[in-house]
Amino acid sequence: MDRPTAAAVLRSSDADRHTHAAAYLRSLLAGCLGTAPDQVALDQPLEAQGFDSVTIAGISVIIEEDLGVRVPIAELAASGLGELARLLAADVRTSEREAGEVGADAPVDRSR
Amino acid sequence: MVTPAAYRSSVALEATLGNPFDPAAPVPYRSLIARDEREQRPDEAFEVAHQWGISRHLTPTGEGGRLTCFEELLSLLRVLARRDPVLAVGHGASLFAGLPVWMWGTAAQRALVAERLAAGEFGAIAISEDRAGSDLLATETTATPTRAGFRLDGEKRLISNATRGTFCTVLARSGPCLGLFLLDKRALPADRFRHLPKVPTLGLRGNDLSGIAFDRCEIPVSARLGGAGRGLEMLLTASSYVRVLACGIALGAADGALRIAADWARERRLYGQNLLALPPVRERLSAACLDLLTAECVAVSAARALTLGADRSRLWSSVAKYMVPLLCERTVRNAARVLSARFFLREGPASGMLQKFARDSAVMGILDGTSMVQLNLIASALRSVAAPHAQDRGPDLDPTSLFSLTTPAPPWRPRHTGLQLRPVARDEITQAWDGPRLAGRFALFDAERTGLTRRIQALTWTHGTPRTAYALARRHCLLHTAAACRHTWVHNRRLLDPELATPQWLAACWDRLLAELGLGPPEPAAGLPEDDLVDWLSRVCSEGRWPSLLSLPPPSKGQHHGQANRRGGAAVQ
Ligand SMILES: Cc1cc2nc3c(=O)[nH]c(=O)nc-3n(C[C@H](O)[C@H](O)[C@H](O)COP(=O)(O)OP(=O)(O)OC[C@H]3O[C@@H](n4cnc5c(N)ncnc54)[C@H](O)[C@@H]3O)c2cc1C
Repeated sequence: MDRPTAAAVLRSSDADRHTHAAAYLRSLLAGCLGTAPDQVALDQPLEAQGFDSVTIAGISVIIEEDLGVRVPIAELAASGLGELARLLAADVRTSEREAGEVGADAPVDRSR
Repeated sequence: MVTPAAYRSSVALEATLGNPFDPAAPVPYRSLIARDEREQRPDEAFEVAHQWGISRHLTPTGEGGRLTCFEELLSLLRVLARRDPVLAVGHGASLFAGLPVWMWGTAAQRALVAERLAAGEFGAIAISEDRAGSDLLATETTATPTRAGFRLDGEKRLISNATRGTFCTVLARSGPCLGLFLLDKRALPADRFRHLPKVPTLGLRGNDLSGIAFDRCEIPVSARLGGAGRGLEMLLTASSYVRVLACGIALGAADGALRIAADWARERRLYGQNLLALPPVRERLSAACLDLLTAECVAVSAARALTLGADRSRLWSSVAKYMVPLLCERTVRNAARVLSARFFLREGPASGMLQKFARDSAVMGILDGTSMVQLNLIASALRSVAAPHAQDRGPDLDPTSLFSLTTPAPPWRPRHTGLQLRPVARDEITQAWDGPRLAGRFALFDAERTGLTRRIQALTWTHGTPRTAYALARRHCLLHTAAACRHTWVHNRRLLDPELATPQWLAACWDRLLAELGLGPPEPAAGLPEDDLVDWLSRVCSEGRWPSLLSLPPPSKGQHHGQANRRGGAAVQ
């Protein structure tokens, strides 16, 4: 699954959110590395996987563009990706949730 | 002689500064050295550059300036640096402070910076702290939101223009994210910030290097630059531009050193003949000259890439920032050997300016991201370039457009730049390259290219950047440099002086790079007779020109104020 599709699935489904968030992260990181999503390890933080600050900053921007969630770079660098998937599963608004919320256009700011 | 449009302003600036060896010139080496000895800023020289209009070249056209072309700005910084690197670092710091403002600032912020620069004032970029050098995430200065805006606390140190800058772009922690803030220092509460003492340094002694301490310093909400909490992202994007432009400073120091050495070799008599007749001296001069020209190929293409292939610039600007200071420092060292004892003296040829170039250029591998930090960034970028699975790699970039100097690069549109943090998917400089063969030399680079890709793909990234990745990144830089020399030579042969238009020149550059790769050049060794290159160098310098690929015409009267129309390709002078 490509990244935009994975993002759309995560945004639109209320079930299996952690699985969808993990699939999204795999596809995002695979895009950065030029590998296949199933080759992406989710058990290690980005920093340990050798991602540099520029790439991590870029990943943070892509997540915000795709999902409307702002993950601070420091958190992104050091958290395990499994943990990050849990976080996205909890924070990303689905279309159903969005419909019932006021001010749903603003990004969810994890930095506050 | 053909002068591409991007270089006409450099010819004019050079003319305004005058002959550096003439004590009566507007900006002579003698007075710059005298200032340096006293650790004083060369204020008169800054004023001459201001009167000429340098600040307009730091300000985009949309804001009332002339900045559209980074190749032109690179060359202008080079002209300033070969007079005195302090001049280029001073203006470079203002430029770095301004870049995020031009790209993401509000109309009021852009107007403030444009107005200050036009008035001959300076800006500072305050990133570094005592406990946060390369590690920007360790930034401790805070910008705490308040009702009226933000409250700044913390100390920024090792900041150029910290004291004289009337505006300052500051990186500060705002919650768990980092933000960028544009400070109008004149509007800050005077009792809530102070300048730290000037820092004594090995080189760049006239640089206004100190720091600023903030103590519950209130700043308005309008000081925030760009998106909230996106300071690091903006800074990292702007850094690509700064790294390339910093190469102009390294090139300028090398220009100055080489010209002093070439002049000395013509003047000094030993054994009844001049120094130029001694083979080891000729060898040093030719090595210095080749390194300088090689560095120029890398720097100029990186500058053009900023508007031609911005999505590759993450990689190419780091390669340039790694290679160019290294090659230029080597040029300065070889020039110093030609001067021998006169290099060590703080008087004599060019008033002792060569030792100043040596001291000043030593910082170029540290400023704006150290050489090792560049290798780290390069290794990381190569990971995606070398990836076997084709991602969305986008359209190809034709190296002709990157390297053909008579075709202007597209103008910079700062408001459309956006954050440039995506992984690099392509590297046409090293990939789109097949020959010339040059007696087996290309085959060696070709094998290196294939081997590098394989070795990068085989790296395991489980504990941060693997140690081997740095070595591979360095090899990639050498390969990139060989390719840049090739592309420059292929696409500009018509512009070059005859000595540089021959394939032997390219072979000679390649041989130095092959040696760095630990690969012996195939027989016969370097084709270009050393003599031809040294004779060229000597001729160029005796004509009052600077050794450069585009060896521009010597400054002549009437060019001082002539900021020629930069439209059109090239003018025949
Ligand atoms: C003359 C001068 C002018 C300056 N002007 C300014 C200015 O205007 N504004 C400003 O903010 N700062 C300025 N600086 C500071 C300068 O940018 C920093 O010195 C530079 O970023 C390096 O930081 P550091 O010296 O603290 O080295 P450290 O960060 O302490 O690094 C120590 C060593 O570790 C290596 N290292 C660190 N991280 C990595 C990595 N990720 N990968 C590989 N190796 C690594 C480095 O290469 C270095 O060898 C200036 C410094 C000087 C000397």
